[in-house]
Amino acid sequence: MKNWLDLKQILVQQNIPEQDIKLTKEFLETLSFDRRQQMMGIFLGWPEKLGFFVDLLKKKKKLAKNYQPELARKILDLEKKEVQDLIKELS
Amino acid sequence: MERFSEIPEFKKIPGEAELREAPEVEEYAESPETPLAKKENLDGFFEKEVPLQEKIGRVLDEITPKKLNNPIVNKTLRLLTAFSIFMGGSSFFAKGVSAEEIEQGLRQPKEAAAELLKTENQPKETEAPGGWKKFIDRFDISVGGIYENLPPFRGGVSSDISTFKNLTQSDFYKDFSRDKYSKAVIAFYNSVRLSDNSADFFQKLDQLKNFTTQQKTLILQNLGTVLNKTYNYDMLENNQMVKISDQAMFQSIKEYLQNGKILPGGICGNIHTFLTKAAKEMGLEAWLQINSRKRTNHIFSGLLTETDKGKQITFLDYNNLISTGTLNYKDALGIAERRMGSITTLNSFVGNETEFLFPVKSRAQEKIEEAAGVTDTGKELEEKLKEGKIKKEKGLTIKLSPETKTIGLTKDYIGLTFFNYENVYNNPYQSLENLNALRGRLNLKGETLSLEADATILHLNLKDLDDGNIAYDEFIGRIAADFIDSHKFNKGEYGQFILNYGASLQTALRLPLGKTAKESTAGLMGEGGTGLRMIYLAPNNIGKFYVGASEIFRGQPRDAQSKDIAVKEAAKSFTVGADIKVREGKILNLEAIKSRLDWGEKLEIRGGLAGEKWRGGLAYEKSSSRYERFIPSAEKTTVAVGYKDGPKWEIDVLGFKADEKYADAENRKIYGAEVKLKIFLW
Repeated sequence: MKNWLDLKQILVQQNIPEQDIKLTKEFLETLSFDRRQQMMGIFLGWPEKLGFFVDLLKKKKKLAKNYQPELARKILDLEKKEVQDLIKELS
Repeated sequence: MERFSEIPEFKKIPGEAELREAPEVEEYAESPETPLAKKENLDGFFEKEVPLQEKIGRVLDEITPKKLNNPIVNKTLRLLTAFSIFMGGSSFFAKGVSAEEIEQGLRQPKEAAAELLKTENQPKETEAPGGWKKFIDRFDISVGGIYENLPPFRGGVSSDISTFKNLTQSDFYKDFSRDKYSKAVIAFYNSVRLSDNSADFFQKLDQLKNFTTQQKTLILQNLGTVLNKTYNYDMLENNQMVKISDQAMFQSIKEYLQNGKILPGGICGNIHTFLTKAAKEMGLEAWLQINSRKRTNHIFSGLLTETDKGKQITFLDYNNLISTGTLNYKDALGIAERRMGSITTLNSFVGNETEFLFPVKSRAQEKIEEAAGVTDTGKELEEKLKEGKIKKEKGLTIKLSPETKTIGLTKDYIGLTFFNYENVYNNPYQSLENLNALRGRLNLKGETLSLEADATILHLNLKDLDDGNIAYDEFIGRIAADFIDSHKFNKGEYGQFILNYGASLQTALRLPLGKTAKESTAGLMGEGGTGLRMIYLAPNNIGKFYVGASEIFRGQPRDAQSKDIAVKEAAKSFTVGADIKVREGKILNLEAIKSRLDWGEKLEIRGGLAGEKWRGGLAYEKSSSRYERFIPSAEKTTVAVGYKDGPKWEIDVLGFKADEKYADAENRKIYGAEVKLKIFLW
């Protein structure tokens, strides 16, 4: 079982701005209980990636609000690079 | 590649080769010829994520439980799975779709992939009750009580000293002989009549050291009667507080006794400073106490008296002698409040003729401060230094004990608390019969700065010494400001250092409300402090070690004859502690705090063991008072056991035993127990 307060504590420790913490919480609130627990497990399981996850979340929200092709490409590049790096690690 | 090749199962992961070989995933190219590039809009963006999801899917689809035995592969695949879920989930969130749609839209990993995340996984059900989770994070309820064996009240008031008969009707003088009475009255008049100045007068009082306590208190009551007659009402009306020399005070006494003329002397602070000096000259232990009378700030004298019935704390208010029947100063203040008909929250200090020393609180004052949200500045600062950040919480708190009920709701920037106290045990040393308070709080909290502003309206019912009822209303405003920051030093192979540092400031103002307000004066308190804590995080999560120091200052009245405010060092603390991982999932906490306080020293030692679900702890506090007349030396042992069921709820049961020792008094044992339940709604 994952606790938001634990996650919040890590977010604060990592100097994630208040509005981004709020956004993260809003994101989690839209999920079902099980999915939310899973997502918090992901966040808590990889605290070193937390900043990256939050940054992506923020960028996607910004994109949804005001579509900009450059931002869209940037997000996709970030995601692609992450996936590529992970698969490289498998080798 | 070599490491990957060592794992036969991963040699032919569909999609893996393409991803590694292609420097760019071609679907994302901006070429106008590509079909996706034509859809330069949000949906187009999400569609572009699909091939990437599919690539991940193909890698994950190949997972077999056997592959997971390799820890490196296991970790990477877990992260890949996690990223896949996050990527999809975050996109759906950005689009603003519902939880159901997210559930349907997210690609479900295959059984083995799901296994990857299973260790992090989740029990079923138990969503927070509808709506609550949006409003509060947690629900805290605590039920507790305190037991102490209180002696019955055996004090009283002696006011009428006009005749021997009237005097001996009071308990304090019941066994007083006429002979001793006459000698005391004559000695008083002669001390004044035969003295030319205050030095002569005090010299004559010094010669009365062999008088009994009752004779000495009778002389003081006579002196108080005369000084009351010479009360300087001009000073009071002009709201002045100036130092009056002993000689001027003596002249007023002599003029009144010899010629019946009133030569205005001083006000309460001047008069009781003079009375305290006189008491000391006769060999009595005496001091000054700021309190209030009929809701007006007031200064009177305290005396240690000894009769056949033993020693007790006695207050002298002009000609009124209030025998409290106790050597427990907190209890004695309660009796004084009942006699004076008011409670001096935030402004109750004890001192001598030259300075006030430190605050002393009655039981009623403690309850009122609790209701108004006034906290221990030092403890609050220590907590914040421990956290290294400003803590924000929203939640519903209910605290219940036989005497006190508190219901508080905090959300983001605002909080509302209702506080009720009832003197259900009819404690004679508790001047409050009951108290109802409503507190509103404004919270402005940033990353490193926070500001709390409280406004509390209180309705008090005070019981006087005849068990009559005095009802009145008060307002207490409180402002607390904190700055807390944390600096992380570079993490190296030998661990990491973190420096938490900060400052706290708390100030509160009590104002009277209602018809009697014009007669009343306000109470004010101000405290501030700074501190730091250096934390060392050992490599490989072995543990955390820390040292810290803090210093608290307080603004308080300088002395009984001026309006000056003195800033005094109230506390200086040094903390050392560690959280050590003793085995997987088990943390041993050890902490020691040594404090030098303005009234003595305090040592706190805490130890505990915390597992994933269970935790237990033991705390020991020992305080050594240099002023046992007013603040007790004490020892307190607390045992606590807690159980945590994931983030859903946790329960703590604690019990304590304390021994308090005031000067000349027997040890008093106090027992307490509390059960705290925290339910996390989120």
